[in-house]
Amino acid sequence: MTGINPAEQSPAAGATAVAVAVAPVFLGFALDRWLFAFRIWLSVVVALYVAFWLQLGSPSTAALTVAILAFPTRGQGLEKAAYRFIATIVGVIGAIVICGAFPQADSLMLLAFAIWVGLAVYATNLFDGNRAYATALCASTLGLIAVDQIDTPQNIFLAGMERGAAIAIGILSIAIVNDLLGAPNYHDAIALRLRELYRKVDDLTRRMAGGGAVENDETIQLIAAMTALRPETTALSTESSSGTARAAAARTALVELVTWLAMARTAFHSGASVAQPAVPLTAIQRRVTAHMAGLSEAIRPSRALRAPIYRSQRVAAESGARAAVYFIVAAAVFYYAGWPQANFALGLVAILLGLGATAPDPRGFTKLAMISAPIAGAIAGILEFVILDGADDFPTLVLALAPLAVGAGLMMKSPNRAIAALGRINFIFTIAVLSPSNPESYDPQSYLYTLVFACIAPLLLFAMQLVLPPIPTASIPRILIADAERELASAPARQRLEPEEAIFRDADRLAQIVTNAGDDEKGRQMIGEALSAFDRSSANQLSRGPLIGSACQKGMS
Amino acid sequence: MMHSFNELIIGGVLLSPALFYVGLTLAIALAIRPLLHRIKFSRWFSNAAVAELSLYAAIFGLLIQLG
Repeated sequence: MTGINPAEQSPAAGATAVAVAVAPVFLGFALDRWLFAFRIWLSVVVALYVAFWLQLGSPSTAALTVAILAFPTRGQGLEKAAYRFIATIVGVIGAIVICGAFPQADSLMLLAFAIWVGLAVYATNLFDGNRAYATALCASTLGLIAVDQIDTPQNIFLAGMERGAAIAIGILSIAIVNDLLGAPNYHDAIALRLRELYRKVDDLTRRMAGGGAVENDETIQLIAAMTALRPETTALSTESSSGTARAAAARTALVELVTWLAMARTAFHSGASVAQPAVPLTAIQRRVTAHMAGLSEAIRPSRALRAPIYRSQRVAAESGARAAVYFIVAAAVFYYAGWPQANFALGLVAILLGLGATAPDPRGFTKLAMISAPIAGAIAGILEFVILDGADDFPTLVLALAPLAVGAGLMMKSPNRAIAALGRINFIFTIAVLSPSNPESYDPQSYLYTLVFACIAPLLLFAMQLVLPPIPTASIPRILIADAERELASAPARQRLEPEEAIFRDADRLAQIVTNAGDDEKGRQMIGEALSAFDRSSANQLSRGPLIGSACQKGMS
Repeated sequence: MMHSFNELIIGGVLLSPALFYVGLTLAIALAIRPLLHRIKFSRWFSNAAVAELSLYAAIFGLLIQLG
């Protein structure tokens, strides 16, 4: 007997009610996808108009910022915007310091750039979500500012200021357009996903309690889905004045959902025993329900929990070192080739290294960039030399950008992740190659150089990643399992975390192992070992409480 | 009457005075967030996002007027 009352009203009911509300469809796409696409178009147009009006040196950066911050809901874009702005400031300071420290010493300067890129990639591997993006952007900013101005270091400060101003305009444009045109709130989407997860955990617990068969795969997928929601909950903080309360409620609900599942597994599945499991299971279920209500009502939980993530220092250090090596080799190739605009290509390598570090598979990201670059180049060429073809009035540019921005918006909101990623990268690359300016130069040679080097940079990086692969995904699970076993042997060292927080951190590590382990026999074996370590660790955490006992009742207050 | 702005000079570099006002607005906006949450500001309006945006715009305008 689990102590769970089946008749208790489930938050899943709300999810069902929302799911049956079918959005109107226009030309094969749901209305909300069209609205999102038009918001992007309008934001790009506003950003370009203001940047042209202020006569900024790099107005395309404002449009590029909109492309990067284009998300269907308000909170996601705002959080990324804040990190983008901070990372740009850090990147510009880094560029000024490095260029100031090594004047007239190109080799040393390039070495310092490589170390900076390596450190940024190292830091990226220690964070998740938009924090990882921010550290990656520190590398990208260096590529865009310092590497691009390597022959004219006296212009770095000016380039940095203009980039900062353009980014601020891009952020303001998309924020104001989203606010005025009623972009949906992100907390509604998070609440829906939490309800769905609640329903699945509840279902799994009932089946385990009833002695039914529960596949390990099902549990692992559920844990991975829950930990994947963690970086999304942080985006709620920036959404409104009640954002921090909502974020705390969502985060606590998520952590307690994982704890609920861990408790159920400990009690019914793994064979380990915990005293009186029925009471805490009921209590934690009610607490999750209360936190989900708190998310909707913007009520901060009385006992807000953190959702720590696990990151391997070794994996991060190896990834950072490899990124530095890629950068040095690319710099050497471009230096000795002596091509014009090679600094643009080297800057692009730094950008790809930084952003690739935020992707689960850096080489896959480079491959995607390799595919996107010629497509985006072709679209930019058609826009510039066929559609615009020498036009110098703003309304023509507005109309010419409509199919690009609206098409990208429709793709970005696709339920198919590959299409969504291709839509986003393609949009960003097209804006980068098109690089709208006032007046537009319509210089075919400049376009051709940009296109060729935009294709060469990912090609070169991909070749390097074939010779010296990014840290092999197959070895990551081994490292993480060894870390887990080591921690199990010295569990008292983690007492600084609440039991629920420690369980969530272990779940995050388990999710990383699942992501990197292959689908073969060896991969399945490693996942089995990781799940076993998770169960043992959870049992340790659950037995040390305040979770079991007073805290359960306290959490209901 | 023309409104004159005090130039913002950091380390000998002349910066736009708007930067100072934007920075100050952002700081005030962040500082009053807990207060807005406490008084449930977002529940007073049908579109809380526009209301908060308007509040920030009002703070920015006020700072420029007082500056």
